[in-house]
Amino acid sequence: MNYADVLTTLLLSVRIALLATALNMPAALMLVYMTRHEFKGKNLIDGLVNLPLVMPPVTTGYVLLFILGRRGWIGSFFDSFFGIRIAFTTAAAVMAAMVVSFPLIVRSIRISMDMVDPRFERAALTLGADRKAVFFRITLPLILPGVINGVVLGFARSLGEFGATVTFAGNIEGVSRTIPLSVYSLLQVPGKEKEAGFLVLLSIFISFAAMFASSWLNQRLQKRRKLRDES
Amino acid sequence: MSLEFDLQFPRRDFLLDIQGEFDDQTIGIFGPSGAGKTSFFSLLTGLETPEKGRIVLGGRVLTDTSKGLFVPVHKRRIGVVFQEKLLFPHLTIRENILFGERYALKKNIGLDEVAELLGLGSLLDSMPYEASGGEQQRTTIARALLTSPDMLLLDEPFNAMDNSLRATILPYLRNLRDRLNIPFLVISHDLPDIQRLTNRIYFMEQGRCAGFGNSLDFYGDRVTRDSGFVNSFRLSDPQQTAPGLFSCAVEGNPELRLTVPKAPADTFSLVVSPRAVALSRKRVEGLSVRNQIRGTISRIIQTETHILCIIDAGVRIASQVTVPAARELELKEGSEVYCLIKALSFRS
Repeated sequence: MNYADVLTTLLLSVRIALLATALNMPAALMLVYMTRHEFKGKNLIDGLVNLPLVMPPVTTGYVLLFILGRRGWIGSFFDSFFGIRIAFTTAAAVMAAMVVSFPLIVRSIRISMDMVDPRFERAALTLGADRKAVFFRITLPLILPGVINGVVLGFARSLGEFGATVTFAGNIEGVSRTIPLSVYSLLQVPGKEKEAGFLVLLSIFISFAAMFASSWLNQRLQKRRKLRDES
Repeated sequence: MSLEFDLQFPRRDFLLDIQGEFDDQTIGIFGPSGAGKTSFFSLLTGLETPEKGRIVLGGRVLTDTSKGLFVPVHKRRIGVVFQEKLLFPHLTIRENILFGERYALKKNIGLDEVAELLGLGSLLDSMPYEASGGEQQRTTIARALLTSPDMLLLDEPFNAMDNSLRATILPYLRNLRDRLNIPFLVISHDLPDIQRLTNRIYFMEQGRCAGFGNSLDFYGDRVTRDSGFVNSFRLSDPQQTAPGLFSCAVEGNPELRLTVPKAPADTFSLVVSPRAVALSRKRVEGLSVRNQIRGTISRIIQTETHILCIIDAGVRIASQVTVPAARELELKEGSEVYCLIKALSFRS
């Protein structure tokens, strides 16, 4: 393995993780916003969303394969009508990363959302802002720390995803062989510990950088505003 | 701009069932805690939907359940000053004040004028948590005004304010009331607070209207008993007669001048408790009391322990005296009396 291969793996990993996070973020925001208040069936939705958090990732990957694989319910439909194969592609790696990191993002945003006093939003309504404006001008800025935290957590989780990816997207060089898969593959070959070690260092560095960026952003937010502790 | 309403709205423990017609004036909504005052505001703003009812503001129907009509909150053009203030914590005072300006259809008042009227000029770039309670309160009022509302609702604007703060917010509210021709509805569970601002009061009790009109007409009624009822005088043209003593003209009676211990502005209000108003059948000489106001008793209300008199002296003045005193003075409706008020018993 040379440095070009390392670079390919790195770029592929980051691309998959970024894409998964970018696609998850609006979905998670919408889900949290829409399931903010108690309603019938909220527990069921919560359970479904959180399932990948407690399921072994390999089984999550198998469920994905079962549904989206060539012979799965949806997978067979795509295959026969559009000739599109989903499993064992980069898109599959993105989907695997999305499914396992989604609950983390949702949780992080939900914690922030629960702390938002809905009376602020009602006050904004009386000032003439419609629901959309209230969301973008009041709700979103107030939950921003949770959103940032969720993005970082989701990104890190996507970067580290192994089980679901290997089951649903395979371990294909340049397609789905992300950093963890590459480390695993390198460790299978005697004498490749050095390359594996280098990738390990790289992934530690990326995770650390993400965490650092998140706390830096949050500190800047805190500086600009101090969430009211008195009323 | 007038307001008409007829509302039915079930609450946990009673049915809110109120009707009324308000004009441009400032109207106080008075009632004990849990009388339904805040629910009334929620219905006006559209944050709650009545079970049955109709709200018309300045000819514009906001709610009409019989026609299935309901104007959403953000299109009602009703400014609300919440009891909890609810300044947006992520925006500066300026951004808070300007929040709703972009949604206003017309522009009755601008940032500069509102900041001037409410004394917020030096504060605009601060964050809400840096402002004091009174400044936050004034910011909330400014924020509501910048939407150029058709009506302003103030929910307990004096709550959680000590007396010196109350005294500072009142002149601002009076200024605004005089500057803008829109109805001001002020909720308070403290009658003197409302009386300092207006004499037109809508009394609420257990979700119903227990009376609407001049507060003096309800003096001695169940709704004002034990509420700390005060006489409120609107004063102007202060002239210093001695250090710390001013002679002022009284609104309602151009011939009457009162001697009072303070004059914070050109026009201002002072209150005096009916208990501090003594009565005499004739003018008294050699007395320290600075105000002796001649009038006739227009109404006498007998309670179990006291006699309450309303004296017409161009302005109406309420006085509370003991039963033996009333007997000794032979107080009757139509009797001519002097109201004796110590200058120092006037409070702001």
